[in-house]
Amino acid sequence: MKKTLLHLVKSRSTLEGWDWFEKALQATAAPVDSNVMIGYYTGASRRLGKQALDLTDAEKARLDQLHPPLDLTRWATDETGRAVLLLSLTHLPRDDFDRLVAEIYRQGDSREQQSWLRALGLLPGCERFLHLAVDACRTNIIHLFESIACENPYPALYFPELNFNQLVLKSLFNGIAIARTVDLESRLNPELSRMADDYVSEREAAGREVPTDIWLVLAPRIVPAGLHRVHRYLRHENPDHRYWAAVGLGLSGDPANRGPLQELHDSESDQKTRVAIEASLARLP
Amino acid sequence: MKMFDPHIHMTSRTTTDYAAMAEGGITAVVEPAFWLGQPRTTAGAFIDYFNSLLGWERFRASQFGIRHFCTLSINPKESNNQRLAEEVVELLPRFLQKDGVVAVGEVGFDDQTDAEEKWFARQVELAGEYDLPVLVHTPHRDKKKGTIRSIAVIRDVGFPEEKVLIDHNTEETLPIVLETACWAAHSIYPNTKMDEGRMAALVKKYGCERILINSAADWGISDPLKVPKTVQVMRAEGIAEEDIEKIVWQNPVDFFAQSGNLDVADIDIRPSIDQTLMHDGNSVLRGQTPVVDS
Repeated sequence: MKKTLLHLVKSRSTLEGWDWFEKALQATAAPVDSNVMIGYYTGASRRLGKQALDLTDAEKARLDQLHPPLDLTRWATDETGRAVLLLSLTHLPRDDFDRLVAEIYRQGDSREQQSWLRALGLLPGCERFLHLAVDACRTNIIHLFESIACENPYPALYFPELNFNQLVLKSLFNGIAIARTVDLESRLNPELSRMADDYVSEREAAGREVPTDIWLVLAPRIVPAGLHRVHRYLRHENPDHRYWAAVGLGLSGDPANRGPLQELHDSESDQKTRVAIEASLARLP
Repeated sequence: MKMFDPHIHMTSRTTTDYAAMAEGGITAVVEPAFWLGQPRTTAGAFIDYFNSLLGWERFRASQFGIRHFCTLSINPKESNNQRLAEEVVELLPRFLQKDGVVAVGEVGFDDQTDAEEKWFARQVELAGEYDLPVLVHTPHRDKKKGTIRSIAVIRDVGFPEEKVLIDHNTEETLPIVLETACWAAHSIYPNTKMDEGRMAALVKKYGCERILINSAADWGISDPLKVPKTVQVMRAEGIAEEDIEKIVWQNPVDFFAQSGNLDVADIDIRPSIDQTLMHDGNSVLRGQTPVVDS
């Protein structure tokens, strides 16, 4: 994996940039000077550039073959270079590695922290940095929050339920599509459905709009008494509500939801929603 | 009408805001210690922050004829940093005894973690020890549950409810708070939390006892004139003048007077302005002619 990333950096660097990066890589050899290393981590944006990787089809195919597959769609060259630097430090004794990697995060500006969070899941023993990943979710800087909450496998793999649920609620609160949360389905739980249901109730009481994708987490594990609300939005005038309510009900595993879905299907005019209803009906027992 | 904004983060605002607030009728503010948008990493950062609330910010407000009080604590978000929380709570007592401190706060829940609950409860205990009221922040996410849990924490500690102000209420949390003896504040925001029209509707439904409003203006999109703007809407909605005055003046005065640090006789008089004064050699003026009340 490191080789693949390294190749991506090289193919997108200028001669001077690559020259600089080779020096940075040399600095990862023992003995590592923390200050020098943190300086190289910071320098990546200027030396390697912030342009998006803009992967070719062949490169995407190569990444898909990795275990686990890597989604670098939103990564830039500097971020890829930073990931390589972190991966080049794994030879350090565990305590030294943990201390330096945490320090790189703490001293980082928001782009450095974004790079760090995106690469976190690639590091050996990455579960040891859980407290930093959870803390990153407390930020008010949206792109930083997105770098942990979206297109990142880490939260679904390592976050405790409470923190995972808060992450999803914060995405909803900030208008970030929760479909961008990796492996959301694997972490659905009754408490998350309850929190989402309370949020809809709060928005309705305030006379404000409800995020249309909330049904993706609300519908699957809601208590039976809460289903009437989902069924109500299944007939909402906004097709986005109907679409996500249909998708959410498809994840419920509850055959009682077949009836309302079938009923909607017969009258549904929106093509995308019709397809979603059919997929949900096919999933439900 | 005299107005009190009992929750506003003036360190994040400009002198233009102070001038507009004074013009709008605000003569007193409470500035709760809070999250600066960026996590602090040392207790020293809190010492400097508390001192700036008690020193420079108070002086700045006074230059516009506004009385400035503050509440001090480590906020819910940053209380998740255990080491930091421990150090800040350890140094809080010496700050709680200073002039201008009218409550412990804002404390409460953000993510509703165990760490937040621990430091929330500990700081409520501290308020008991130093005979101060408590200002409770209710969370943005999972608000109803967070409000119920906050009341449970107050009761577990055995802290007197009439010395607790629960903030950022909504249609769903206000009735829960009013069932207790706690006071209920509402943050009037441009987009989230509460707006002027909804607030007027709540006052019509629940009256004005133990109800407060504030702007909660900070470094985000917010409006330091939300208290006077809500007064206008309440008037237009036919709410009685004395009820409005109770909400924007008498209630915050009565609540924070429980600290013993807010002089009820004094507060009725707008503080006189003397812009020739300096704070540690610094003035808010940039070459302007100082305003001095005769």
